[in-house]
Formats: sequence, C-alpha cells, structure tokens
Amino acid sequence: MPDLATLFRTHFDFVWRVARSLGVPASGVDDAVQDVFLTVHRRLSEFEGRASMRTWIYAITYRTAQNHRRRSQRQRFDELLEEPLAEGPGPGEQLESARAGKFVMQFLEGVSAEKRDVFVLCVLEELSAPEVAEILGVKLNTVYSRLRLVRADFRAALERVAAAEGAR
Amino acid sequence: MMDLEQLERAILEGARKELSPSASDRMRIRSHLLGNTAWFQPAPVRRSLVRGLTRSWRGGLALGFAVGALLGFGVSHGVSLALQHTAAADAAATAELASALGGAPLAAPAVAEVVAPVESAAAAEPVGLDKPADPARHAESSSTRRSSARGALERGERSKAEESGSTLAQELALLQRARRALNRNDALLALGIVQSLDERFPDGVLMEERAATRILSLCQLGRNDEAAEQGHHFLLAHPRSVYAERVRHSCVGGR
Repeated sequence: MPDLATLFRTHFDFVWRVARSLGVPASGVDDAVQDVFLTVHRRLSEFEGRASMRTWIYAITYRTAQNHRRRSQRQRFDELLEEPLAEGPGPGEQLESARAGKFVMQFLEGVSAEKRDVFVLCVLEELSAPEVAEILGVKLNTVYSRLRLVRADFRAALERVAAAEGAR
Repeated sequence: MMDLEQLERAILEGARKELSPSASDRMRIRSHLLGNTAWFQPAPVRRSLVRGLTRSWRGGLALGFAVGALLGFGVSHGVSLALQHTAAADAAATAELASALGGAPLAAPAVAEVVAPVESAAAAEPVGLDKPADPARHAESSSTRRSSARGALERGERSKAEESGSTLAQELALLQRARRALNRNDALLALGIVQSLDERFPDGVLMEERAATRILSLCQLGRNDEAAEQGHHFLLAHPRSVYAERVRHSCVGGR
C-alpha cells in the first residue's frame, strides 16, 4: 500500500483541481484539500482494495468538495466571476488560461450538479466512465448519458462564444 | 480561426492550468497538514473533559460540541476523535503522518501548528507536535485546571461555569478564525481578530496562543521590527512555552 507522502505527491493536483472545479471557493480550497488528506490518512487502513486507490481518493475528494460547497453556497464562484468574460480578448489562440478557467467555471455554474460532476471528472480530469460511475455511485449508462448531454451543452457554449467573437 | 474542437481543447487545457495548484499551494498544504496533526493529540484530555462536564453539568456538553466544532474538524470529527481515538493511536497517527509527509514540522513551521493546540489549551496545557511540553508542567497544569473546573461544578456554580464556558468558546472561536485567516495568508484579518480579542478578552485564557498568532501575523505582513520586539517579550515571558520554538523559527529568529 502506498504511503501518505506518495499519495500526496500523486494526487494533490487532482484533489486541488476537483475541489476548485466542483465549486469550493478559492478561500476554502486549503481547508477542503486538508480535509481530504486528513480523511485519507485516517481511513487508509480501511482501504480494502475493492476499488483502485485513485478511485477511493477521488471519491473522498468528491464528497469533501460537496460538503464544502454546500457550506459556502453562493459565494463559491464569486471570486472567479468578478470580471465579465465578454470584456476579455475572446476565445482562440490568445485565450489565456485564466480566461479559460473562468469560462469553464461559468459554464459549470450554469449546468445541473449531476452534469457538472460528470464534466469535471470525465472531461476535465479525464477519468474513465467506470471510475466516475463508481465515485458518483451511479450506473455506467447514467454516466455516459450525462456525459453526452453535458458535452453537448459545452459545445453549445463554445459555439456561442465563437459566434460572438466572429461577430466582432 | 480555430475550429470548435481545437477551441475546446485549448479551453480545457487552459482551465486545467488555471485551476491547478501552484508550488506554493503544495508547500502550504503540506505544511498545514503537518500542523494539523497536532489536532490528533489531546484526545484523552478532551475525553476526560467531556466526561467531567457531562457528569456534573449537562450544559457542558454543549461547550464540548462547540469546542469540537471550533477545532477545525467540525463537531462530528471532534466528537468522534474524542471518543474513538486512544492517546497511543493518536500519537502514532501524528508521528506517522508527520513522517509520511516527510520531515520534521519545524523545518517548515506552519501557522496552523501555532494555533492548532488551542484546543488543548482550552482543556489543558497545549502539547506541540515537535516539541512535547514539559510533562511535569503539563500534568500539573492540566490537573490543576481539571480539578479546579470540577470543584466549581461540584459547588453548583452553574451560571459562572456557563458564563466562563461561553467566554472561552468565544475566545476559541475568534482564535480559530485568526488561524484560518493566517492559513489563507490573510495576516491583516488575523491581526484584526487578535486586536479584537485584546479588546474583548483582555484577561483571556489563551494569551500565549494569541501572542504567538500576533507575532506570526506581523511576520507575514513584513512588519518584522514589531514582530521582533513582541517576539523578544514573548520569549522572555514564556521561555518554555510550546510556542517558543515556533516564534524563534519565525521572522523573529534571525534578528
């Protein structure tokens, strides 16, 4: 079984990103990420190997992020939404990562929680559908179905932005 | 003009980059995790505190919950840790986590480390992760406080105990807020909270913790001269404090 230092090194970036993209406000990410690793540390001996270690940690991260998100509710995306997207340089090659992050966060704010979870885990984090099904506790077909829908939504959002950019 | 697929890839890549932690985020969390391990330590004290309070004073249970909630783990964690963990298991967990995360906590003194022992201060003398408190002093102090609290409760001074518990809970809550502010590198807020503590609780229980938090806040704000002056006084007044080492390792140390 990997030790905690290894788990921290391997999964820290993921845990951080998921906490942020699932709506934990920037001011609460530190606490959320610490909670995840403290939970991992406390429950490491309970890990039975039925799922992969990665899936197990992701599931803890997902639940922790949900709890923190519930606590913060409306303030969760405030920091990212302070600047209006339309005033930036527009999508394309010049699209900076900051604006991309804001675009994605705005998109996630506008979709249902079910779609958002699948988008974050499948699209942003590129986990496999079976892994996501296990983390979310839903059927595989449900993951595929939500993924199809949320991808379509994302494409539509991109098309709107691209169209607006073309009209300038 | 890139097509939608390219645009999607670019945006997702940019978003991943934007949402990813920096090296300093990594260092900070690692450091906080080491600090948080101190929260594992005082389970026996908490257990005895909860036992004592529930035996004599039901209202004390509410304080126990409040204290648990203020310690950073929330009510469920605080209570479950208090009830489930033995001292040995906690110490082992602490050592294991500190070791697993690599290195001695003092190598990267975390703000959380300084204030995390607040919970132990509420019930007994704080015990640092890296430098255990003097056992005799610790035993004497905690024993004195416990017996003192028990005596008061046995005399039926319920209202006084309630008032004192409520004051302590408020003091703890503010210190916890200051700690969280420092963890977020918001030293200005932390310092403001400490000043508010000074005004509201001039004779508070957690004075050492408060002083250490103030010194670290000043360090974080770059007000090193003030930090050095206060750190000097702190070390003179509390040379054996469990926070002394951390103060020495702050910006105070090099001066």
